[in-house]
Amino acid sequence: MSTPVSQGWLFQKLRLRVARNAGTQLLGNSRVRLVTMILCSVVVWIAVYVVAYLGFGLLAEREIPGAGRILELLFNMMFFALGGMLVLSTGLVLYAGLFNGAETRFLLATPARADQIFALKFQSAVTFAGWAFVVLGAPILIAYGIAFHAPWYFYVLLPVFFLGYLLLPGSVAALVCLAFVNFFPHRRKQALTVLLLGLAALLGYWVYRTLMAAKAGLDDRDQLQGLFDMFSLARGELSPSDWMARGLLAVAQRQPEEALLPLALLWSNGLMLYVLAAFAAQQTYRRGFNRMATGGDLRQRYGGSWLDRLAGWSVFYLDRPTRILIVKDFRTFRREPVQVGQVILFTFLLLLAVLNSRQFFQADIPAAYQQGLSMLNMSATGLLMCAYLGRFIYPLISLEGRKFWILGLLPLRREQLLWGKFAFAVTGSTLLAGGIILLSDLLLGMPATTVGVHLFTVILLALGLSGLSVGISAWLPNFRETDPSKVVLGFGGTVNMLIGLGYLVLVIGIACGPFHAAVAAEGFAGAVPWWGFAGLPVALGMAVAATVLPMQVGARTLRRMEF
Amino acid sequence: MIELTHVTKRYGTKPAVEDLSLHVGAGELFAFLGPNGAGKTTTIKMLCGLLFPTSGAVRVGGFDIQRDGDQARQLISYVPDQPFLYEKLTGREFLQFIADLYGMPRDRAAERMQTVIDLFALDEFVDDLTERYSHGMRQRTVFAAALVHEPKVLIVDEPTVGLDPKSIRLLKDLLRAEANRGTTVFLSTHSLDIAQELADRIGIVERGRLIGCGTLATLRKQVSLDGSLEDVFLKLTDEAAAERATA
Repeated sequence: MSTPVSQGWLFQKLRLRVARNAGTQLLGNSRVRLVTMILCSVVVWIAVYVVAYLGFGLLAEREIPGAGRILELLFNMMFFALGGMLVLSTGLVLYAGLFNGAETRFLLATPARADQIFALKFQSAVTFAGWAFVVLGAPILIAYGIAFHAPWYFYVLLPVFFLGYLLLPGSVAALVCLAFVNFFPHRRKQALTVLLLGLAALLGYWVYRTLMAAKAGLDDRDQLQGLFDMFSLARGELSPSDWMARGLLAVAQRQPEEALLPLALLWSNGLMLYVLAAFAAQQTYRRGFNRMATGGDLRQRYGGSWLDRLAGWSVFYLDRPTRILIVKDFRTFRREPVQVGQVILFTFLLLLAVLNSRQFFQADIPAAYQQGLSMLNMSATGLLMCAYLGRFIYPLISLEGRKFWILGLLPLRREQLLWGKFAFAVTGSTLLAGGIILLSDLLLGMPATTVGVHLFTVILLALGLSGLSVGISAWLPNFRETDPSKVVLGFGGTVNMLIGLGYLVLVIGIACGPFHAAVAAEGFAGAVPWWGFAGLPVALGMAVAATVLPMQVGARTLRRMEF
Repeated sequence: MIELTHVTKRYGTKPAVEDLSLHVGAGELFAFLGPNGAGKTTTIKMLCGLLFPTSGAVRVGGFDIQRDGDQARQLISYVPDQPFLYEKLTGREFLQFIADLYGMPRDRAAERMQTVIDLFALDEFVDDLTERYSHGMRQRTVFAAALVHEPKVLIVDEPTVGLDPKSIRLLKDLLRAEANRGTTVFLSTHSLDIAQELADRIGIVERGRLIGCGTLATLRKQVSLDGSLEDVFLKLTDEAAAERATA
């Protein structure tokens, strides 16, 4: 007679079986989707690798004095920033998984132990949040290894460092998450807001001091040391980002014995914090779930908000019924903390990048670099627009799902639903991306013509990407799915992402490419020749096509739809 | 088998269940009735340990649900009104997972799985991913999973929603058979005819308070009415509402 299996092993088996079945299904029925996902990851990976390799290559080639310290600082900052982001993103995913999911409610009613459910959800959250870390971090570090001729064991040890590092922010996020639901069940939002504002204030003060130090110039050794000291938080011996940076640099410099301590510190602290989090979950998870579920009134009252009024006002040019539908979509969106968190996170990241791109080089940034950076910011903003519209606007039609009959019976033409969502997407993305581009170009001291071309490109991107997201979502809806992230990962979402990325590359290439080439041809001074603007009407034509064609196909599908 | 002693549950300041005391014995089929928002689902969630009482105690099989929850849940199967299935598992894999989760030895689990597969006629689709199942297929799979580990207590919330008449008949026979075998069945439903047909005892809650509890004959006596359960239910809830209004 065989013995029962342990719960820990059972949940691992469950995870593997679910992954295996999903994988078999993906290979059998959704090869296009699989290839598209792999292709997109490879494109992002190669792009990051090329940019990083060029930078590291330059540093290695020039043999800049103090390059080692600069690299250590760069890695410190990279891991510090990624660690901060990981705490936020793992926290958001873990919160949704532990306290909001149907699977959680199911498992909590079984003899599954609280710490085992926690471990299951923790692994999911860390895998989900850590994926971006690996996709972005790996090409940078591999580029560094190749540029500086690191030994073979550097590449072998990379995943060991990565895994160890992922445990730390994940465990911190889990502890914060459990503390919030247990100690602030009634005022979670307020407590989180206070915490985030506090952190933002500290970060703001630090950025301000650093920028001031950089602005003052780096003429002598003391000033350079002063600037390095600003990063002491990330560079302290007790900082995990320092363990990562020191360990990886030591391995790359063929001093594996120097890497042992940082690696041991990473893993021992990561595991210790994880055990602490699992223990806290064992003691407080069920209590926290109970407090979360019953902390407020039986029927929580939700009312209108100034944000809803702002959303309605931003599309003032539409008729009232369409505005009401837009406010409904916006209200649903803003009451989903995970989605709102993702928007804030990525916007914050991009803003940080935009602000840094200028200020560290205030002293005498060459015009060629200025133009290059502005183009880079333009591309990053375009990518953000593509991601936002694909992630948040694309699922809107599918999410109407089983409620579609309500919309179908409304005294509205069905096309109006589409154009309403399109208008909302264009307005929102233009305001957000236009603001970022304006800020970036002004900080870089770009001339008015460049600002104008970039803003025009943003409008073209907003039009085309919104048309694609809304049109394709109506053409290939998935009414069975209720989870927006799964709608995005479906066939239609993948098609939309692929076409959107292609459109993005073409529009930026055609609208901005000739312009920046013309500026370079004129030696970064003087008037831009006519051919610098030749791509703009072509890009405009593409934007019209990318808006009208998918919207027409989508509208036709929607008109014929039965419910 | 199920024992609630002076249980009160509040959501913030609002009471959902007030001073509820109840005892349901082994092999009893107990129907829990009440209007929407009466506190039925809250009570069920406390029985499963999803929620904890604000005051009072809940015991299942002699285990305090708050202190010895894992042992208590080992005896329970809960079928909620919106049951959960792993979309990327087959019905058979889900049954195996449940059998393992409740610590069943392999050979006993295999035997029981075959029994419930036959009982609920899952054979045709048990090896398909559950994401392809219709509502009826899902419901049958969920009941099969609930019974595979031979629970001592079966808690069922609105089990007949969306089922066709034949499936409802099957379900009613099954619940009765389980009770006859010694399983305690705690059934929450809006369907008064099912309660009248199946239940050994009936509890009626209104605004979190137990306003009536006993056999149909006892309840009829309580309201001095010789009608159907529907008449008794309506009279009891109307009286409770009137009493609350005058208080």
